[in-house]
Amino acid sequence: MLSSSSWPLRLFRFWLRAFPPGHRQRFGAEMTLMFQDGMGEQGSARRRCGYLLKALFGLLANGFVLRAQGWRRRNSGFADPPPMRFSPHSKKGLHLMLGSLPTGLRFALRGLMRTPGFALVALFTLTLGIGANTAIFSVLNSVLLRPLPFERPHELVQLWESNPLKGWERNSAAPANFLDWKQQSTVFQDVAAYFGPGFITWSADGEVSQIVRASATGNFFSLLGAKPVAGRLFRDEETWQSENSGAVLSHGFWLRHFGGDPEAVGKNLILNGSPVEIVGVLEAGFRVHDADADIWLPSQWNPQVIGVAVWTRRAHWIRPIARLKPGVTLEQASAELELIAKRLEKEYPETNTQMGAGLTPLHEWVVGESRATLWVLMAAVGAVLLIACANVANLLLARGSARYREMAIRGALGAGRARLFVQMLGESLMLALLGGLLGLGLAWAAVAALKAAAPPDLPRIWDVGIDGNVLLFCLAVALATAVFFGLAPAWSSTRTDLRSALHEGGRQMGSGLGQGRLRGALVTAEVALSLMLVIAAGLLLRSLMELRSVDPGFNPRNLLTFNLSLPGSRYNAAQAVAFCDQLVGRLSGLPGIRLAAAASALPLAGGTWTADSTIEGQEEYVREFRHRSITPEYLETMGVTLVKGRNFLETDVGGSQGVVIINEAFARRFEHAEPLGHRIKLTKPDRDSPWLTVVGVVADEKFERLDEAAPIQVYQPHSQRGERFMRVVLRSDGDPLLLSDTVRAEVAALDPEIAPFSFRSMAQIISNVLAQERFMAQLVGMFAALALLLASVGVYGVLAYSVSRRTQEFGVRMALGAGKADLLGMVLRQGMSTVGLGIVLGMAGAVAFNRILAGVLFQVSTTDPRTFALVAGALAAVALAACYLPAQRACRVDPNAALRTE
Amino acid sequence: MARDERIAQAEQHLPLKPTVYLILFSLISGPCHGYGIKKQVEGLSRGKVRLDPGTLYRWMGRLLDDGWLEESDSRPQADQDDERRRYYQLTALGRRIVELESNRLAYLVEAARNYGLVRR
Repeated sequence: MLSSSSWPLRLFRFWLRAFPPGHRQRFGAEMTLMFQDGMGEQGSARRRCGYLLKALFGLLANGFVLRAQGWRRRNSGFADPPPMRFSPHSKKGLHLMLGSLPTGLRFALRGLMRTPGFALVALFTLTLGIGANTAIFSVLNSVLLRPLPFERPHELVQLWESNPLKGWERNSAAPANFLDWKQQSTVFQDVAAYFGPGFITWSADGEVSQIVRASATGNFFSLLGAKPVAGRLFRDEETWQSENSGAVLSHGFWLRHFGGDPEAVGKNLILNGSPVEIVGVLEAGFRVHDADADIWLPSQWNPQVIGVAVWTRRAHWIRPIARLKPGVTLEQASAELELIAKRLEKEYPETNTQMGAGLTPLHEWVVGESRATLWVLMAAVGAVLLIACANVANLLLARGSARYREMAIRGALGAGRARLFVQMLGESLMLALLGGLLGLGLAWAAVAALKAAAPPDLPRIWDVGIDGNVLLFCLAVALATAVFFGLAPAWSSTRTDLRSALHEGGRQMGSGLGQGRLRGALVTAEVALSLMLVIAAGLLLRSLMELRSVDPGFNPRNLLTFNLSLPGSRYNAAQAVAFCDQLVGRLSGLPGIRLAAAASALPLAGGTWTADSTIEGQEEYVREFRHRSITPEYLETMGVTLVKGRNFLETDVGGSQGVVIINEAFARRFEHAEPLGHRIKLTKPDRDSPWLTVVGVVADEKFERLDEAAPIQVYQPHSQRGERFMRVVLRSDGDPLLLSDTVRAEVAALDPEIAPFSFRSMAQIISNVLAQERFMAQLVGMFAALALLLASVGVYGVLAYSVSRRTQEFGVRMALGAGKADLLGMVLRQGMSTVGLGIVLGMAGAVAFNRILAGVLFQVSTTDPRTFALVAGALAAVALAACYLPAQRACRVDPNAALRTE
Repeated sequence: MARDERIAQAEQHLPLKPTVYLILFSLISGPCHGYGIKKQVEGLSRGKVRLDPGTLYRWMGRLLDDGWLEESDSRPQADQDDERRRYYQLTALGRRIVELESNRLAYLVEAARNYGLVRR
């Protein structure tokens, strides 16, 4: 019997991954056992090798069938697999082909080794093409295709609220509404909710740090089917205030800080100053897409407040997830949810007017907008592969005509046409499989780089890796490329007219008009495809440049930002204001720091409150604007222009008249031209709230995205609100990130229990906002460069080949008096006419296909004439350079030598 | 009840794929493990059908899921037993299907014999 560590066994175990995981778990051990038995039975090394190959092929083929069935099943709703139906069918044809395949492959390997230069160039091209495709597919696979890491994920749906009055689509839900859904619905097995993530202060061994926490209702983990690796997860009753509740650690946090020790369960963590017991640890791989927390806390709601008080219907901050009952369709579920929402609307008109509810399958919710990005990338990288295929096909065609005589002789000796065909195809197959293998290696390396470069909001990026699906994809791509680039050359080189081939010495053969045209067409297609890609890359790049040059309304250079969270147990509003003023005063006096300020939220960094606002004397009120509090230094530190009026003063404090500064977007909403001196209140007209006087108007700051108009914003003096969560911003002389240690020391000097966190420069924040766009521009740009390189190699190859074939012709022309310039012009014309056609076709293709970019571009049209012209010019220049080298060779032909060989 | 119904409608699964028939047939004489099934199938087909692990266990999964086979508790070959091995046996439905398929084939063979196509 085979020892358990021998390499065939390890290989077999590795290839078992071709099987879907469920099947692997069920039968993997038995299959390995059976393989071992079978191996042990084979007499010779040769037979063992054959047995191994057959077993591996069996794994791949059957794994593919099983995955295809699983995929079909998942995509045809939740139906059972179609009933088993067997139809007898013949495998004769396939067997015939496969029967001569090993011989063909052996010949192929020999043939390839005879021309190592050709083999290397072809392999390199294929490796790049297949590798890039496999890498992008591995991202697509993990993000779009792989099921979510929860139990029976297809039953899970995300619930949301929408409200046309407030411009909400798919918004977070209000807890009281959530409770009503949970109680009144009949279509769900259960409904749970989570919220966060946010930061919480963790003190351990005299050090304080901020860790990410998220919260969930007690039934959250059981609804998702999560399992603990130690201790327990939340219990149902922990939704409400209950005894003995505690924190659940993420697997990663547990490994980092407790070394994976199961004894951690039962210990206490000091969170925000008070002890919380660790009750359990989540299994590895459990991650909630938008709440990747270090620790989870139960919601522990107060039953006297949540679901009872009005504000729990007014504030929308939890995200509900539900599990559909078996057999319930999405339409049924969403219809019932809407019905409940209608009922609530009638019952609570004050909070629920026009408040709709709906649901989205969780997978779709998670994948969201990244679907478009990934398909664009896949299309781009697919184009690169097509170009690579065309190049290799061209190489094979050239080689095929050089081997014209060999084929003819083989034919004359009795090799059937089918055998010759299989031999040629075998070479392609060999090339493609080797290319696939190397490509897999390339993809493996590229995936690591992709993960590092991917935007942080690309969902499930942590899952990206090479799995069975990716292996199968790589194999399928390799096989498809083999057929794609191998079929035409194989076909054309077996169409041999024996007599004439052997007769005429075979020099002129195979470079006939038909094949020349085929090669020209391939180059035209390459040029067209690469032009489309380069144009796409150009558009994305221009769009990125436009985004970068957007004026955010403040000066982002040399700004450092960080967050502070003051514990409510020790700081009331007045104390928070005092702490903030003190800190800002200390910081702005330090060397290297020019200005310092604090605000409850910063632009482009997220996290602010919205409310409705009433302008005194105006009937219509302003909905959903953003309000935040700032210290008086904020405007100067950020470089926000005060358009008119005044800044906040030291005298605008708690007891004095309430004042606000508004932005220009808000000023435009005043019916009378002059907002200064008018009063607003931060609520609807019919509710009581103090009136606040507008004392200043500032320029618009972009708030959430750079590609949207700035929202309506209202600034209040920090001294009149006293918030305990602050973002501090500093303007420095040099690199702002160097200041973080100084800042830590200053904060610790004021209160050693408080840890500043999330140090980021404003440049980092902006680059974060643009991460998705940059990712796409970088990748498409890379693929475009690759395509351009491959296409110019293609142009060069074809022309060089044709020049070398026409040596005598050039000799004759020169003998008859043609000058070097004439020959140069002739060859260039020939090459550039192919390229020119490619450029025209590519332009048309770009107009037709680049429309898929419309959703991603910012202030650049998909048919931007400047980009089109620039790219076409650049491509023509590159192609001209590629044509020039062979053209020059044509004029260096020595007429004597050329004619003598004839 | 549902089971009887399925047995009554077993006919709809005919004709079987040769591989499936051979797998089912090899279990007629009693429970067997994966490798044993492979050997029996090889014998029954006179060496023509050599199952690789991937193919065999793809079908095993399907046949188990469809309720034609089940795992067996009895472990008949105690002397060469390996605890990692699982034994499989036909269910009533599976047995019925082999029976029906055998009869179908027998009818064909009978007809062939009438034309002198089958030598004894």
